[in-house]
Amino acid sequence: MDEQERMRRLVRLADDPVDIPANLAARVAATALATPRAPQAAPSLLGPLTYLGARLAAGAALCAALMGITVRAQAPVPNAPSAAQARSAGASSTDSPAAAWLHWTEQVEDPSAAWLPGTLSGTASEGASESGAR
Amino acid sequence: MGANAWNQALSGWLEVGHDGTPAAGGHRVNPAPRDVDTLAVLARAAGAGDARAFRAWVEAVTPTVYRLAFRMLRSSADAEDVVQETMVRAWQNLGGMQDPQASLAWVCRVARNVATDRARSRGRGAMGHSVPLDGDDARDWAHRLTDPGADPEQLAHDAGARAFLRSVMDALPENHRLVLMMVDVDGASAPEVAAALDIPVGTVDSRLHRAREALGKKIRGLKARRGWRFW
Repeated sequence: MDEQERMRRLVRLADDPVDIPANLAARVAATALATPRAPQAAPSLLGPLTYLGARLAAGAALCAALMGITVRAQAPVPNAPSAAQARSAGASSTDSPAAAWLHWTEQVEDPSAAWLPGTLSGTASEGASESGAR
Repeated sequence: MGANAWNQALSGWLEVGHDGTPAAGGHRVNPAPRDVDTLAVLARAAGAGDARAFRAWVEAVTPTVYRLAFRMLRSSADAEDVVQETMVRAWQNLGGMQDPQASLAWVCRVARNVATDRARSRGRGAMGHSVPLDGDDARDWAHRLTDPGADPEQLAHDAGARAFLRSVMDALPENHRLVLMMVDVDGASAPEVAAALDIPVGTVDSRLHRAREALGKKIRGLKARRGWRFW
């Protein structure tokens, strides 16, 4: 007999198993059931709604930020020169719009200046002079 | 789990009386539905306010809770009080329990807290029923119990040997003593002890092994002392 087995047998005989009192469970259950029970909190919609509201607000803020970035990125969309601008830049009336565009940009020192507010309706020379003035 | 499972669990339970005897016309089944699923069904229904389910659940968990409280406090009156207070708390709080599958571990945790508070209020001196261990008799028991040729069954019939052994066990760390008593004396299963003490089953086995080892070492140590005092 090894030490573990010897001790197991000694311990088993050292004390009596716990004797569960008769009807203990029935008695304690009856007493417990007689005590008032705290009302369980009813499920509330407030929590989920608050959460949803916060998520929506965050989403809206994100959308607004993204839209701002998009608007800024799209802001200066160059317009094709008007027919008058193209003619004044020496383009032929038979040129395709693309050819007229290229011709016009060659003549204008700073084409981007022509896109600034107030210059789109002006001539190429006006755009050039304005950009030169800046 | 659906209503069918709940009805099966409860009707299986109701086939026997509270003392484990078969009800009229019913066959004997396990009087304590200790399997985790049944307990979970009962706990969930009890948490929802079902008194019948609560009674069945209490019936199932009370032996473990009482055994635990008794082994902690070593007094049947105190253990009964602990079980009563634990079940009152259980009735009030079962509804908020997160995991009904672990209701046995949960209620044992409550019982341990209640028992610890009670032991603290009593003071440490009243915890044990140890017999003072000094003198030649105790040393003689230590000699006889460690004699490889002696039969433990024969020795343990002697009241002196039993008192000596209980006193030595009382000197073990609480977590070792509880496992030792619940498994080796009360015959509780490792999963039941694991749930009662809120530890893994593997830990129950290792604590049991170490507790037996420590007990043997302590007895051998007492045998070797001359003119020793146990405390």
